[in-house]
Amino acid sequence: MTQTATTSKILPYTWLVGQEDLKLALELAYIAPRMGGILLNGQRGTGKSSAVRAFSVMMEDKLPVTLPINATEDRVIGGWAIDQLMKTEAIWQDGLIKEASGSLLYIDEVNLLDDHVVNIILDVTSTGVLVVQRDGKTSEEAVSFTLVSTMNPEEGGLRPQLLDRFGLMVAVKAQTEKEERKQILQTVMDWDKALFDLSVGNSSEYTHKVEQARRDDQTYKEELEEAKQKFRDVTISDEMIELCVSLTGAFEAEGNRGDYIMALASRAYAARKKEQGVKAEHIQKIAQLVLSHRRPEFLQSSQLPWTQADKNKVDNALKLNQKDSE
Amino acid sequence: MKFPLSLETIKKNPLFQSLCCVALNPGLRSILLFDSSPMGLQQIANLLVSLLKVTTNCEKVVPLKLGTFESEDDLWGQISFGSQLETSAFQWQPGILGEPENSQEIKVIIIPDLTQLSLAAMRACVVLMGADVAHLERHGQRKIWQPNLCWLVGLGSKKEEIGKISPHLLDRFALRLNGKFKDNQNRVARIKQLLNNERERELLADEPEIYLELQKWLQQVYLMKTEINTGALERILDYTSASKIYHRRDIFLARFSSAFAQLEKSEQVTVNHVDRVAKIIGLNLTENPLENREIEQKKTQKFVNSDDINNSETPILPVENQNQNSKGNSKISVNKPPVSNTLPTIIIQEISPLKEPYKEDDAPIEREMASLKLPTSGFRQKTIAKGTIIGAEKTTIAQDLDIIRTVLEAAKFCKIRQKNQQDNYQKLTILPTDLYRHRRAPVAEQMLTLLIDYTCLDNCQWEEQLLPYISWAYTQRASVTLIQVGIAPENSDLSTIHINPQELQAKKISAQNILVPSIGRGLDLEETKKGKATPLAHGLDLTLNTLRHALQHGKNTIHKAILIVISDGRGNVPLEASYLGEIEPPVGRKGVEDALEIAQKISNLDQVETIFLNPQSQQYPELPLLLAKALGAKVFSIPPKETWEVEEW
Repeated sequence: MTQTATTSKILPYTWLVGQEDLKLALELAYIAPRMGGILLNGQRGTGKSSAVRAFSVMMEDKLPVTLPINATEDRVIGGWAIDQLMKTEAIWQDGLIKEASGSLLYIDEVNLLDDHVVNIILDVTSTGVLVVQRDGKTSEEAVSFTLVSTMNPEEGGLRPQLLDRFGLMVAVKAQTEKEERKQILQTVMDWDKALFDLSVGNSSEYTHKVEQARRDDQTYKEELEEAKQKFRDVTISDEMIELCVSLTGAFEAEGNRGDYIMALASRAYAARKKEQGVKAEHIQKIAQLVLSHRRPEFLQSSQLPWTQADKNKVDNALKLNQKDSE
Repeated sequence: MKFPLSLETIKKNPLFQSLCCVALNPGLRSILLFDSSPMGLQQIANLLVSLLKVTTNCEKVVPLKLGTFESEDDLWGQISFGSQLETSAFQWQPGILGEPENSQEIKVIIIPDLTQLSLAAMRACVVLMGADVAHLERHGQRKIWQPNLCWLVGLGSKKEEIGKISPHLLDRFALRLNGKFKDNQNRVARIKQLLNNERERELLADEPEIYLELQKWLQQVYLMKTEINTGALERILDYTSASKIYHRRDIFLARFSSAFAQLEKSEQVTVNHVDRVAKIIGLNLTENPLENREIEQKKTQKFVNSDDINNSETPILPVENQNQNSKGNSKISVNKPPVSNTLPTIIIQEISPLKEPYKEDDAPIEREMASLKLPTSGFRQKTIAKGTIIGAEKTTIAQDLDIIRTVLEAAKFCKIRQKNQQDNYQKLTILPTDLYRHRRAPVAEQMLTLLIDYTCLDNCQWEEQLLPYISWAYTQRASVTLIQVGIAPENSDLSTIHINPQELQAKKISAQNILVPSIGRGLDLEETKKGKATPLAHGLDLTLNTLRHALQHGKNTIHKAILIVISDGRGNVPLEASYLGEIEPPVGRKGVEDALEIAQKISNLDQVETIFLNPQSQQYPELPLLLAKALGAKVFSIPPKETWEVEEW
C-alpha cells in the first residue's frame, strides 16, 4: 500500500471534535520537541490513535513511524537485511528508533508492548544514544525523537522509569456534552461516506468537504510552524520560572524534570497563543499535562483522576486566586 | 445442494437484516454472537461470505478460523524455508492476519469462543479490529496496510464468561447479536433428514446462494447514501446512559442505523431506524421514559407486521424476474424459489433481541490484571516447558529451544559466516546469539486447595490464620481451588424449613491464581453465607478428586499441592445424601465416618502437604483432631475472637 493511499484514509486533523488537551499536547510537543514524549492515557474509543495519525499526516504528510506491539527487536534497533545476507552481503537495515530520529516515534498500546522492547526504548530515551550490539555489529549513535504513546489504563500501567520519559500526559476522556457527541457522530458519518466515495473514485460533496479540511489542515500547520519558529523569542521571566519550581514542589512531583518541562511547555503554549512572554495563566493551562503523571500517588494507579483539589492547588501555587480577589 | 436467500427472507428476519447491514457497511464488520453453537456460527459465516461477495464484488472472501494455539508468528508472519535451498532458502511467509497478497481480498475471521482465544490472537484483535491502518515490523519486514477483515466471534452470554475478556477488546465489536437461534422446524422431520442424508455437513460446507433479486437490491443500495437527521442523532445518544459514555457504541449504532436505512432504500436515517436497530441489539432508551412507551408500542406494532419493509415509510421493493441472467456478478448463480417442504434450516432461524448487550459494564472481573500483556518470565531458574506456546523469544540457555526459529536465525548468517571463515565446507553453524526458546503462557506449578467449613467460622480468627497460605499462593503463582462446605445456596429462601438439595453438597471454585476475584468473593463472608448443613464428606470427596486430577491426570503441571482444611469435623451429611440431594434422618455418625474415610484416602496422596487449622469448637473438641489425624495433617489452632479482642485492650 502506498504512503499516499494510506494517508488519504486518515481523518483530517481539523475534523477532530473536542479533545482539546490531547490536541494541545501534540502541538506543544511539536513546538518544543525537547519536552520529551507525550502519553495519551485514556478511556477506550476516545480517538487517541486517530488524533496521532491525523497530526502526523497534517504535519509531515505521512504516517508516524509506528512501533506496533508485534515488533521484533531487529526492527526496533536494526538488523541485517536477510535477503542480502543470503547473497553473502551484509547490509544493515535501520530500525524504527533510527528512522524516527528527529521526528515522532508512535507506540500504540504502549502498556501492551513486550517488556524487552520497552527496555530498549527506555535505554535510548534516557541516554539519547542508540547502542547496537547484536549479530556481530557494534555501533553507537545519538538519536532524538518525540515519543508519542497511547494506552488504556484498564490494561495495566507503565513502569515509573518509562512514565518519567513522557514530558506531558493527557488523561483522555470521552466527550460528555451532547452537542459534541452529536458532532462526533456527524463527523464519523460524513467521513465514512467520503472514504466510500474515495474508494470507488467518486467526487461528491463529502470528498469536497475532505479537500476543504485538508486545506484547513494546511493553514493550521502553518500556524504551528510559525509558533515553532517564534518559540525561542518568547521570554520567560525569573518570576515565572520560580512559579514553575514552586508548583512542582507543591505537587511533590517525582523526578527533577517536572519544573523544566513546565517552563518549556508554558513557553510553547505562549508561542502557540502568539504571546511575547509567559504568564501565570499559561502555566495554569499546561499544569495538568505536566504534573498529573508526576504525582506520587499516580504510580499506584494510572487511573488517578485530576481533581478539583488539584486544580485549586495549581491556582494557589500560581497565586491566581489572590490576583482575582485583588 | 444450495440454500438460497431471498429478499422475502431478509424482510422477515432481523438476523439477516443485520448481516446485510454488515455487508453494506465496512464499519460494522465485527460481530459478537452470544451463545451461538459452532454450527450456527459457521452458518452465519457462510452467509456473510456470500453477502460480502455480492456487495463488495470481491472475488476472494476467505473464511478463516482462529483458535487457542496461534502464536505471534502464525498470526503476523515469519521467515520460513523457501522452495529452493540454493537460490532462495528463505522467504517471508505472511501470517493469517498479516498483509493480504491481494488488497481486494476480504478475510472473514471466525473465532468460535473468545474466552479460549490465544493471548497472541487477542492482542492482534485489539490492534486490528476496526483499525484504519495496520503495521507490521517483524523479522526485517515492514508492512503497512489497511485491514480488510470481517470478524465473527462467539462468546457465552453469562457475565462470568464476559468477565474473562478485557473490555478494551470487547469495546471494538460493532455489532452484538443473540446467537441462540429459534429453530422453528419440525424436529421429527429434521432428525429424519439428518438420519437419511448428510444434510448437516452440507449446511456447514455450503455458502448459501443469494437470489438475483436480492443481489441486485444489495448492489443498488450499496451505492446509496443516507443522511442522518438531527432527531436520529439525538435518539442515538438517548440509548447511552450518561454515566457510561463510550463513543464507539454511539458510532456503531449510527452506522447500523444508517446501513439499515440503506437496506430499505431510505435516503434519510430516521428515529424509527435507530429504534429498530437498537431493538435488534437489545438496547433500551435511558431517557424520555414517557416517549419510550409510545415508541415501544409503535415498535411492537411494527414487528408484528411481517411485511414491514413494504409499509408507507419504505419504498416497495421491485420484483425481479428470477430467470433473468445476472449481469452484475455472473459467478453467483440464480436459484428458483425454495419449495415450501424443503425449507432450508438457515431460512427458518430467528433471533430474539439481546436483553443486555453491554454486560461487561457490570460483569465480575474474572481475568488477570493487565490480561492482554505478554506474561513476564518467572523468577525461578527452572523452566517448565508446559505452557501453551505463544511465541518465541531470545535465550542464552539451551532449554526449551524453538528449534525451527533457531535454525532459521542461524541460517540467515550461514553464507556470510562461511565467507568470513573462508570455508567452503557447507555446514550450518549455530552460535549462542542464534538461540531462541518458546515463549509460553504461564502455568501453575503449585496448587493451593482450601477446604473451608463455613458453619464453624463465627468465633475464630480464621482469616488471619489463612493469610500466610494466601501469600504463599500469590508469591508462588499457585493455582487455587476453594471447596466450600456448609454454605447457603444462592437465592435461598430463609423461611423454608426444608433443606435445599444444594446445601447438602459442597461447592468448588477453581482459579488460575489467587487474584481471580471469584476466590476473593468465595472467602468473603458478606457474600458467602453459612448454610444449615455440613456436607463435610462431600467436600473432602471433591478435594480428593481435585487433587488426584491435578497431580495424577495426564500432562499435569502441578508438582506440589498444599491443602488447608478449616473444619470442626462435625459433618452431618453422609456422602450418599450429598449425591442424592436428599437426606433421611436420623443421620447419626455416618457423616463423620464418611469424612474420616475419605480423609484417609487424601493422606495417601503423594506431593500433598496438609495443614489443619482447628477452630477449637467447644462441642466435640476431639472430632477435628480425629479428622486431622486421618488427613495426616499438621495441626494449628485458630485463636478465638474473644482472645484477640482482649489482647487489643
